[in-house]
Amino acid sequence: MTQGPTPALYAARGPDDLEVARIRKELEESRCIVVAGRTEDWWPHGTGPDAEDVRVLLGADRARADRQPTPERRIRFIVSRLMLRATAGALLGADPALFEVAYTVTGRPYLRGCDELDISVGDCEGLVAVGLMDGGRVGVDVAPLQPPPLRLPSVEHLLTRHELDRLHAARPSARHPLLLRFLTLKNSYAKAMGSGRRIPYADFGVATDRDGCHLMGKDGRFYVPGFGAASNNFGSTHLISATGVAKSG
Amino acid sequence: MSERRASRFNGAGLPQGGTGAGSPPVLRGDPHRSDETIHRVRAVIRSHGVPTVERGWPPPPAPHPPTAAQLAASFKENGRLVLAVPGPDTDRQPYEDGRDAMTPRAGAHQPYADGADQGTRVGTWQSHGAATEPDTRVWVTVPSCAAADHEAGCRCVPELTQTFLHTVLPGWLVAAADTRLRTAMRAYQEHYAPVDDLTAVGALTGAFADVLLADCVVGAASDSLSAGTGSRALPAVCGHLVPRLLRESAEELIPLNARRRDGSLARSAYDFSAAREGEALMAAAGPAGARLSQLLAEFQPGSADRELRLLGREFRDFSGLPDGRDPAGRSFRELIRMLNRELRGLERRRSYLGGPTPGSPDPAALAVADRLALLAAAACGLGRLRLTGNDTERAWLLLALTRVLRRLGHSTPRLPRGQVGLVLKEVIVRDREALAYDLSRERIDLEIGSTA
Repeated sequence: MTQGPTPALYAARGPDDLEVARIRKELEESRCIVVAGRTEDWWPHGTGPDAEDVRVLLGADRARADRQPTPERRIRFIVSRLMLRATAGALLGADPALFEVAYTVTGRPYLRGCDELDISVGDCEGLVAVGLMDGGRVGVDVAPLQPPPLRLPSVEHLLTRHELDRLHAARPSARHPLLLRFLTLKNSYAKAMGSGRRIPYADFGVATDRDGCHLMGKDGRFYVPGFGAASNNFGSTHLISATGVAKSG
Repeated sequence: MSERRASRFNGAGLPQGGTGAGSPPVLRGDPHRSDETIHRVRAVIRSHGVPTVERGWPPPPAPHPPTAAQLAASFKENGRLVLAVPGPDTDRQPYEDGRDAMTPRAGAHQPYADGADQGTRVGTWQSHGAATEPDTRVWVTVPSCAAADHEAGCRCVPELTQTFLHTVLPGWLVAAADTRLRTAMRAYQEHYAPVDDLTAVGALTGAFADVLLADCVVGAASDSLSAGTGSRALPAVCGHLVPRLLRESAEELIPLNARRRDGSLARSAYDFSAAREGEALMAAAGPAGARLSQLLAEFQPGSADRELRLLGREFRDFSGLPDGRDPAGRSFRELIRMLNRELRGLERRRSYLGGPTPGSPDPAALAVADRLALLAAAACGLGRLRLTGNDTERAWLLLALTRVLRRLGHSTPRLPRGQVGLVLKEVIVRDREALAYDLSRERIDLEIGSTA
């Protein structure tokens, strides 16, 4: 069966840490790349969220930034857009300020006029990740590894029987990371599809083996071709999951 | 071609320097006017899906492109109709010497060199040097059931081949959207209507409005091409925007099908793959990046002057709209004013379209061109409304314009009460009475996929 592109993870400590040649090579090889970095590393030094430079770089996203419910969320939003523009600019050899981040009617972001380069953004406490894919679709989700742990009964309805069996069979200390992996992979799949949580999560599952991550039917048997997924720890603090979908399915 | 049709797209006969208020329509295509080939091909695609795209079949008809008779013979033997289109040409310079990407270069291998009737041949324009390089042409085949008069559907002058494909392939995609809408409609009635799910209603009606707007663009682009004015702006808009509109609408429908008995993952994976079939089909018309570059070239200063003037005329003309005292009429006026404001904003940003850039095009210029394409789509929809406006057409167009403005990043006013209901009713009626989900609204036989 056709395995989709497996996203490659690339950690960067700010825009100056982006190695253009390496990113381009990674994208050429895997066709899907996820750039991740800590919020404090990417925040422009010596500026506040209302600095004119930042607002100019945000462009039409200024209004969205202003609508974020908390200052922390606002900073993460701004950093995600700065990271997205910096990475796209490095890949396409253009000034990051020239890109326009637009949204489909369902809210999925894309780079206006650069439709071939698909994007996805994920963020959580202290970490931002952006996925870019050449000629396909990508979804990225991020979660903190540390507690507060998810309680299984509260998310049981999001898992397939196959996944629940695997969780129950796992050592107690391994359950929480495994559960996080399942949920972030499902989130990244839903983001790549552009449908969000409107697809019942209990109707599809994820499985990990030596070959990587796979998408399965709820009976644990149906394997979806054309999709590639990866899930990696970012240091000891976060988990990043990404799904890439090949153009031709 | 009649004088009247030709004059609509080259500006002849329109008041010079006027405000445009009350002038004749300028962006009003009707893809179902009289072209029987379109009817036949669409009828087949509705039930059989979009044609396959193949490379390397049949063997290149060197040294000359096939005649219509050869095509017909091949069609009868192989059950397929072939369009030969140029593959990627790395030597092509979109902005060189002010010429656009489609102008044949000096020294290019020219088809029709044998003096035969040009109208009976399929264009296989190749770049210079192609004879010594591996064949990069792409062969597009359509199902054999669209056989009669098939050559009319693929005839085109060679330098317009890609422009032609930018118009005809999106038209096929509109037909292919029929099955998706019908399937989603049935899923809606089975699972969502009983609980009055507003999100499902929004997805279904929004997708329907997008399909109809896409068909408006296809129609206007077809008219533009048929008129032979040399303007390739609308075909460029069509090739760039229609596949995207249809893909987005298809993706919006995925969750509706996810509750079907055959398993949500299998179904949604299938739907997701189907939503992107347009990308595979449009690959025959060249890479997406090239389409954007062509779109950008069409909006360069000089060319843009004319296109912007036509758009401006459409956004200043309130003729044919419902009365301003009517809630729908008020909404139309508000949305059109927003579109006009957007257009004026883009006119101020036209410096981005100023000139050629070395290497890849400027992303800011591409973004401006993309916005202009969305405005052109809205203008095509408004043209359709003024041609044949009734309550249902007004309702879906209001919805479509709202979605265009949301794509442009604007917050839009709430639609008047009952408008979405009208659109939903139309979606239900078209399914119940087996009417096509495109502008033709023709009765179709769902079993064999042909017009009844």
